[in-house]
Amino acid sequence: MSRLGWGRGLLFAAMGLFLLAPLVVVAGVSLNAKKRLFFPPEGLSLRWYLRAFEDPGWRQAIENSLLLAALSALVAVSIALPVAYLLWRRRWRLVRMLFVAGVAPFMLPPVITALGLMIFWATLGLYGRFENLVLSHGIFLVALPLITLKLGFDSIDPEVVEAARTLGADDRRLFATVLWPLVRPYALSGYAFAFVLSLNEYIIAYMVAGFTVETLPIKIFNALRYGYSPVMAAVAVGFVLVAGLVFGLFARFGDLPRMMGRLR
Amino acid sequence: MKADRSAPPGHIQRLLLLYPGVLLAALFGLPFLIMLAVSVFRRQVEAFYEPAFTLANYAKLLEPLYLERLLFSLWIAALVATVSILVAVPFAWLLARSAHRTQSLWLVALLAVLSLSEVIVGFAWSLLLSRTAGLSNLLVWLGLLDQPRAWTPGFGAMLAGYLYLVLPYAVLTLYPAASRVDPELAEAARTLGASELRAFLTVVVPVLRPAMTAGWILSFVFTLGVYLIPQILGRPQHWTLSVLITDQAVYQSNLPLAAALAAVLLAASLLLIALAGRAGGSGRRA
Amino acid sequence: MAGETVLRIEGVEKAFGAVRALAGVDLEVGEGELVCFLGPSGCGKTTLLRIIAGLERADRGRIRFAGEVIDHRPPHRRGFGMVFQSLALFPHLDVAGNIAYPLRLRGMPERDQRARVRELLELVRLPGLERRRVHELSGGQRQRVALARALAAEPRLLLLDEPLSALDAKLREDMQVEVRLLQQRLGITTILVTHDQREAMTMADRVVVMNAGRIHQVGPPDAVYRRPQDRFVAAFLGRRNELEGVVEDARTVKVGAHRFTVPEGPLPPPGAPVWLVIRPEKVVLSSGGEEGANLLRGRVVFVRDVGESVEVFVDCGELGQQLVVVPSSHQPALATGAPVALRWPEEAIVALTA
Repeated sequence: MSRLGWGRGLLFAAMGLFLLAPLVVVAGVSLNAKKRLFFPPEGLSLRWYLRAFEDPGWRQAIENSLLLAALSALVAVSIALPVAYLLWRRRWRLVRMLFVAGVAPFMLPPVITALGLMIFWATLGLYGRFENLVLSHGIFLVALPLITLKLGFDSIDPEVVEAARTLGADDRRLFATVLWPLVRPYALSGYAFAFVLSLNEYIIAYMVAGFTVETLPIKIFNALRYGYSPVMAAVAVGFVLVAGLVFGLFARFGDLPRMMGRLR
Repeated sequence: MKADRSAPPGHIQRLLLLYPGVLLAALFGLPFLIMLAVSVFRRQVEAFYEPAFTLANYAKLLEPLYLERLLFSLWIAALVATVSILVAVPFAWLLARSAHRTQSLWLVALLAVLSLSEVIVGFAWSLLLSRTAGLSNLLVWLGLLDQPRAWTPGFGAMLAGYLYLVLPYAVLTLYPAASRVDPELAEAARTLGASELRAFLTVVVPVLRPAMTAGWILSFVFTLGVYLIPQILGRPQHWTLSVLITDQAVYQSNLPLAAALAAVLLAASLLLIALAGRAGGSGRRA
Repeated sequence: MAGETVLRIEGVEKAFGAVRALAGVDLEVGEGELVCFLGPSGCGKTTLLRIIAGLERADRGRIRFAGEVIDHRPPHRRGFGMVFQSLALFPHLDVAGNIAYPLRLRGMPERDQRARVRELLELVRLPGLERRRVHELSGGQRQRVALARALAAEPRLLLLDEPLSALDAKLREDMQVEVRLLQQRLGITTILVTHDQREAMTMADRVVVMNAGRIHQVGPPDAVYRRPQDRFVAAFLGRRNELEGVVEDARTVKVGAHRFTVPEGPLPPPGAPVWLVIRPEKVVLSSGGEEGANLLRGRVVFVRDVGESVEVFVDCGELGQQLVVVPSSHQPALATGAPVALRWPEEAIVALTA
């Protein structure tokens, strides 16, 4: 054990340091008392966190991003649920094709999807509308609830389904009384996944509505080019906290290793 | 045997397909078709494009400027994917052997980092490598450096940003395969006289090879898709195909050229993903 | 058969791809009867049960229940109760939720549901466990909840698919008796699928022995055990000694140099091959002084004392190894290598042609 233990400790520590270092600096910078990006911070203050909510520009971006994430994750789950259900219930080829189409945007370089959607909305003459951004993110993020829901449906014991049938449940009632209660946690985690990723998504938001709707990542990127400010760091810390919280909840209330593909 | 398939085909279930079907076709299928069409259109400054049939946009790729960007993109993707997989294989293997709680914690960390926007990752690294807030301050304090200096923008900074994005991705693609390797395999090798490192190299790595191939290809495609890191942490000579596509579409308003570049990227990605599927598929039996 | 026929299976066939699961099965089940489908895994017994439940559709043939053809009726409209191998309790519902599930689907008022759940929990001897979570129950308790749920809507037919297989041996034997007593008390027509012949013998009014998609024999357990109709049934139900011989005349079979007198009954014509089968506990063991027909000689190879009886393995030379089971109290002092004689009582011999 000893040598493997050493190697393991070293590798884990190096990885931890690599992943944490930039975030620690961001967190430190966000605590600067003055409008300087120093690390270690000079003087401690939480004013930049407050500023993110007070400044109308940042506030608007926060609202845009939260609303976009909440709605687009809902769109994603609403598209994924019927596909995942029918994929489990029937072996129709069309359903399998829809599954692939749902997962594909997530596998491909996002620039491609972003450009496709940009040209699409431009061709329709609907460039720059918030609703279109919701739909665009919804489609882009379908993959996440689709995968978690497929996992959910596949984890249902077939005999439980048969038992419900012999006890008198038709398709509709089977869904309402057995399937939905059993896949609900998976729908919820798919929603949370999609929410976090919509919050962080930059390129599609930028190309579909970048000049009219400023989301947080767009706002940060613009601030990056036209003058740094500790508010950026404060917002970035917020992003890390949200992601950590959501995935932490997954781990707390679900089996994260199994969800990420562990079998044994 | 999954659900009961003996019931007569459901018409209501067919109707259920309508909603996801229409949305996916309209917002995924159609945009791709339009994009492919635009890639052979001509650029028009007032409108976005004008219908035509020309291969001039594709021919542009053969010009030295674009060819150079294309080759650089492939090179950096290969480099980042290789480094990531080399680190990810032992990491994923050790992670899969850890206590359930440890695994959960690491997965939370990896997922959280992976979900972070490129904007935030770029911003964080630009701070870490900056003169005022960065690593160099620490090195000065430790007496290893005379005075603080900035390491960004530069190739090293860009590489660090890339690895920060791709490494968690590589670990998560390898994790399922690594967790399925029977730990007794390595233990058997140990009882047969192999050292721990030797057991890992001669037993675990060969068993994981199909997954490594698939993971490398997926990491390669993932790296090709990175669009902001070169802009934030690199210099113009480090721009990649993904950056060029954004640049042409948004700043140069040349949608046809952007579409042609995207079509090439799409073809390459689809080909590679199909290859990865084959490599991973043949590995599942092992 | 106990009562009037309620379930009639007519020429049912089923194939999964190239595999024939059922090759033409006919059977009638009477009102209030417990019929057991017995056979090795893959014999088609579970497929037949699933076809009766409506979970699988037969390729050919017909199922009638109470006179009506029900082939096209989906499982949720058949009104049968079924207990599954995995028990298939709903993990998201508590005990009461599981048992009340079929009542809820039928729109029973909640008060009545509660009363019925209480009644059922008393029936399966789990009173007061309504609010318990499914994963907090022991194996035996889960078993009883599954049974209560299957019985909740007062089904006209109860289907049991190896429901006791998850229990350990001791609990399993207790449950066999308990389920059987409950079934008799309720008088509910029941079909039980099992591969365990002891379970079948304990519980069934009639046993249906199946192999390779066919029914080999149907009858009361003791009759099937004592009078197997073919070598498969003889081999699958309990242990047996078997000798291959040739018919000499209407009452005599020649096995090697030995002659066996067999009970009266139809034998194939002289010269035809025939198999003689006897249960090990029917063989009479002696120390070797005996003379006469139906007698084998050999040497003790191995003695196993299993408590209530002693099993003696005897090597009979070219006739192979034979097994004798004697009650413990009758145990003669037997040493390995001791010469013994085995007598096959005429009335205990079964002569089989296939």
